[in-house]
Amino acid sequence: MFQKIRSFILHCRLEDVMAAGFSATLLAFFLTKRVFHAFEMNGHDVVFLLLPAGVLGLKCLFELLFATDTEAGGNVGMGKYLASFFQPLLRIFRDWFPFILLSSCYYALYTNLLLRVNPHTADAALSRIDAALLGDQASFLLEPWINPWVTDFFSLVYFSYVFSLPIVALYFYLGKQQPVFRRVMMGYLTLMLLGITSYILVPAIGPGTYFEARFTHDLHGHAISRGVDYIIWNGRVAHDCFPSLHVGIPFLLSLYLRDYRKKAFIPVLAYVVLMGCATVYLRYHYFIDVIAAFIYAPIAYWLNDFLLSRWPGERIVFAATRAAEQKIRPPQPEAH
Amino acid sequence: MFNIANYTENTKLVLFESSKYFVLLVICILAIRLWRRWLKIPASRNAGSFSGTLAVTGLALVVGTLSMCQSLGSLYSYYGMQAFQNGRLPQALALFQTADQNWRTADTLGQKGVCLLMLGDTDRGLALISQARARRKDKGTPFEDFYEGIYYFVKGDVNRAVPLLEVASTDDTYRWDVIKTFAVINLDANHIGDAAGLMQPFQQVEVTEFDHAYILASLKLAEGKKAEARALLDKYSEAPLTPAWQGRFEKLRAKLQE
Repeated sequence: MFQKIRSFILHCRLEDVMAAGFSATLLAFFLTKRVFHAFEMNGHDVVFLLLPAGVLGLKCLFELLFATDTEAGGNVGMGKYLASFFQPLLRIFRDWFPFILLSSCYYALYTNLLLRVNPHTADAALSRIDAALLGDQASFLLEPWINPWVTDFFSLVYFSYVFSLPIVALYFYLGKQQPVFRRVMMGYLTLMLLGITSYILVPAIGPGTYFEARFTHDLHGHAISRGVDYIIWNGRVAHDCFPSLHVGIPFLLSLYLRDYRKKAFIPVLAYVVLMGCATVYLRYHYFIDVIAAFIYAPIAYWLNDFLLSRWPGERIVFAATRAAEQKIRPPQPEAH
Repeated sequence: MFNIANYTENTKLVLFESSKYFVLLVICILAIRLWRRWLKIPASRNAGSFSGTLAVTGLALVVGTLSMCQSLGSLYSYYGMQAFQNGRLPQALALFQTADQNWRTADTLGQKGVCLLMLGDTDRGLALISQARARRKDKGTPFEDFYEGIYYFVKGDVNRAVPLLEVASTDDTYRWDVIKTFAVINLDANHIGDAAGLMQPFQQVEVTEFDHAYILASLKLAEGKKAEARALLDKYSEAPLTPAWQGRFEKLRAKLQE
């Protein structure tokens, strides 16, 4: 019996096992330790991860609406007809739900464990590293360049982060590249897990709040910066500085794009650099947070591939590598 | 209508509404497909298929009606709150009644109750608020607690007002008004020190409301700063006040004359 259960678990998708494991952990905490007072699941990423799932759902519905029934299909019983109708919707749910659930679990764990594991913020240490690297705080050094239009521009760049993963994931999913889609999503969640662990161990509020009294220039934009600021402060969970996942996630995506869409790699890398500038300019992060993002993302990239290649029954990395090879290799002339 | 400051609330609302209508869309498309199949393919015309098609159509109608009623209820409730906050009580009551007819919830009952309470129909108002609380297992909303507390305060029943206002003060919307009300209760009871303690963190707040002016004037008078107290009262000499507030202002003016 135990062998059967073990074999079943090991042959499930890795994301299903992880989602079930984290949900069970949360439930166990909730039922036994009473650690959790409330489940906060209003993280931006969870909400924006639902966007592509919604788009896919609508696309699927319109396809279902305009699909025609064949004469042979008329003989099919009601139960079978309903099963075939719901199959495409269930497939989307099955492919996306574990990732959305895992993302929610990470947020719930993060919001509830933050400042409980380590109650001391690390702003002093992080700012000392910045001072050692740059001579002063990056946000102070950028003060002479503060301009309302620049603030608006960087606010837009900073906010665009929430669309980066959904767009890339949707692109691969719609391209019917299931192994690539799963590899990207698992990579994203591995980076999230590393980032959240880091936030719990090294909590920091960021230079905007830590040095609030020492700034001489206000960051007021002309058009959108105020709105973005509202959303960030209402939607974010505090103390999420080290590393900057706003930089880390687009950088991780650029690594995947390098594997499958080489032409997109350099533009996305330029976007990552802009995002790094935005996080420091807008005083959300220290410079060292941005540097750390460039270390965390490759670690997540490697760790994810390692886990997926070691997981029994998984052939994602193999299949994804094959997909990349097929994309890169020029078509061979047929031998006559 | 969209208030960016209520980002979390708006996100939840958008997610809930979109999920609801997505489910409705799925059922509607299924019903359309089933009817099309039944009309176009003779092989599918049997009793089982027909009853299944009818059942799905019925489900679409039920889910559609319930979804629309729920959305209309939320919408009318929202506009009712807007009218209430702008002081248009009869219009607010009408909107809350429409919301209640569309989708009865504890909130719509409580909102109707508060409106009736403020319009002077106290028995019906209090009964509706009690019904709303009973539906939530004896839990009120800050909106209901605050206005019921204010009702008891105006009536002079401080013992019943204070616990309700204390609960309402957990909501940011009512905290400032509750602090002012508690300061007035302390001033009425001649506990000047307690009132001063409550208002101490808000010394820099600009005076734009008559009750704030009254509290500060009373505190200034207690400190012996009669001129400052008089200046504050004069600012609101023409303001339309309820009899209870008129009495407080007159009493304070009389003390200033002494």
